[in-house]
Amino acid sequence: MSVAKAFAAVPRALPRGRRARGAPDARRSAASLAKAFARVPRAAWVCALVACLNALCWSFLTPPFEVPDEPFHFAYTQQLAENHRLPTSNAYAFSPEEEVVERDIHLYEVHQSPENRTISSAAEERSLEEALAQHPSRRGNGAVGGAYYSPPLYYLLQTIPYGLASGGTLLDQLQLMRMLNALMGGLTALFVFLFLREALPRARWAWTVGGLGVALAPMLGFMSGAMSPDAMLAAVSAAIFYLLARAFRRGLTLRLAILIGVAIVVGFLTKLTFIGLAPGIVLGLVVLAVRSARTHGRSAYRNLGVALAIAVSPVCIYALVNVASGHGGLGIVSRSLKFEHAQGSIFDKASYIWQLYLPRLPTMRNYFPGLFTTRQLWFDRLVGFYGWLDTSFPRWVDNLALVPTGILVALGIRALLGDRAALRRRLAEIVVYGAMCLGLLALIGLSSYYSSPSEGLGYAEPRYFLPLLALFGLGLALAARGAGQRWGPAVGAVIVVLLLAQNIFSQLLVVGRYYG
Amino acid sequence: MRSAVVALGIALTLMTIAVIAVLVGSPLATAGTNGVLAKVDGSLKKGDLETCQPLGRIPSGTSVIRVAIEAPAAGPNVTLRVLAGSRVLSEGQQAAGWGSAPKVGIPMAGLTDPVGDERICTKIGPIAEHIQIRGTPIRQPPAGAKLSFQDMALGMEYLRPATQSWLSQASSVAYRMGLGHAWSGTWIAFLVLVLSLAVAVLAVRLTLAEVR
Repeated sequence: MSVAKAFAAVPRALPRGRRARGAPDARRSAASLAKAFARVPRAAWVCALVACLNALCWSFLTPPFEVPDEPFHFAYTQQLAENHRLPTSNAYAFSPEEEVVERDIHLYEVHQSPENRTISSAAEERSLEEALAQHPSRRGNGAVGGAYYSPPLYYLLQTIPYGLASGGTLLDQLQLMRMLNALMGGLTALFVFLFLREALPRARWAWTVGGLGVALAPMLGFMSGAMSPDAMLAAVSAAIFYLLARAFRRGLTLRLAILIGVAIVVGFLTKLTFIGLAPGIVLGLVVLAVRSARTHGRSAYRNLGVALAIAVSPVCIYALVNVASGHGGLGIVSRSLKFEHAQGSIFDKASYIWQLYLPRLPTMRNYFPGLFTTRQLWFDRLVGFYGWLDTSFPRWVDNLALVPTGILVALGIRALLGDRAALRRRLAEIVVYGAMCLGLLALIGLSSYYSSPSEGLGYAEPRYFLPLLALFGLGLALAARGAGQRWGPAVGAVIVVLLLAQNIFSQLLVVGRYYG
Repeated sequence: MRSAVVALGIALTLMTIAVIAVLVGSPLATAGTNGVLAKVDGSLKKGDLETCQPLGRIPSGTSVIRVAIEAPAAGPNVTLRVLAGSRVLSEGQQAAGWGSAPKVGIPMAGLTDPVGDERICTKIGPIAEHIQIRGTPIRQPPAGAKLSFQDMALGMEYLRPATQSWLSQASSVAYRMGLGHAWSGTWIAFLVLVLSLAVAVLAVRLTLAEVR
């Protein structure tokens, strides 16, 4: 029986009474969903469309597997789809089909070697086509490289496009999987727009500036145009920022509590980086419950309980399964977090994390000799850093980017200081967003601390900041507002063009790097 | 608001001019090497080192020198100096933090053909992670000592702007964009162009509608 037929058969299989009650319920749910969609402003949909088309554009111009970890993510999905099992090792030995493609597109000669170009002649193309025409096996031995420690939800979703394109070659499957990611890029921009609508309710035009700024951000386009769970994590994180902002304005209703709980589950099952956001989200839920309790009594704590119960349920089930099967409570996840190999004092770690983002204080041991991390690891790389960490703009472009960035930061600060009463009123909300941000930065820093002896500074990648895109959008919107009523819209328009230009030049950079 | 429309118009015009300026410019192409083979592959744990080697012949118009220094994720500050005796003829620098690559490109200004016994000195700043260097020993270390950075001549490539502009190479770039993907053909390049234009048009129209 096909899936469609199976779904169609379900209502008929229900008892008559339940079917009779279920139908109007379903209609009501569908109607309320349609109403919710209708309430989303047209501008939000356009932002989503822009992000989606931009990611689609990136998906066509980035060569297959020339995105960090894409071969691993593909191997994970292939393992689920072909062998119906979770991965069994982090070795770098994939299915014969994937190995053939990697060899024939010269993956290992091209990645991290900017002087080498990708496949560039008809003969090489023919060789790739002929190798794929022999239908090499799609079954690997369970090895998925660095994706081994990742939770499976994203890869389960990716089995849908993988299956839809299974009649074609691996390249067809990969392209369709990238297209699913492009949709996630669209969702990210949509949720950022909605977040801004809740966070800055009086500045309608600023929502568009922030929403479009995020939609055009080249790092979102690059990662949403590839096969990577970072795009889904960005969408889920943006959704949580939106739901929290909504709860701060309208109270923590049962519905919002359930939605936040579900979003947390999706986040946990998408990528472990989400753990960094979790403490801030829990803090937000607690603050919201305490606030709501003043007006709604104990029901506020019930809503908090519902959200937390939903959020932790998959973690508890996972831990129980691991304990029952004789593994550590957190299974392979604990290995990824490297609790088993904890080293150094808490002060060492705090000092390392501080220096990873900010200039070293006088009493600190120097973990990054010769590096101004704030500028050289993060700012320059946020301006443009593509491929396998091997493609960036010349230094003068990074220097030039300092000028508009400095102006926008100053305008953003001006906007914040200009409305101190609102700042005080919304201090708790700001602290929650700050805690989410700090949690993520701390997690990235800690991962870098543990891996630095073997992998160097491999965690210094701007894509890890994608879960904070909602705050980036907020920063852009605030900068536009900081220019005042007269010049604000003009600055907003310039911000949109700046991001558009960054995106276009980033695409030209990537085209020149691979096809020039 | 009129100011938003004017700002949008000016910003778009500047962006278009910048895109055209990039397209009429030329990509960098390898014009030659210093002929030093990668006989030794060494690892450095500490920086703040300098090694000098004979300059040899540099192709005219060289604007970037690529040196065989590899960093896993964030390379150190690298400075190149061309010296005639103790006089600095030309100098270039790549700031720390460059990405993962087997060679680092250093922009050089005012390089001219060597006339005599010029040397080129490579200085590596403090390092935050182990780096690899590749080259050939130019002198033997004292008995019992290991080969050091100062005993090595590093492999170098000389790059200069190609004779053709990006624009004149557009058709060959478009051809290559159609290879190695799910669907083959030059039309992929046009699809990318159409998508890119659609993104720009949608973004500008929405800005005009909402921000005015």
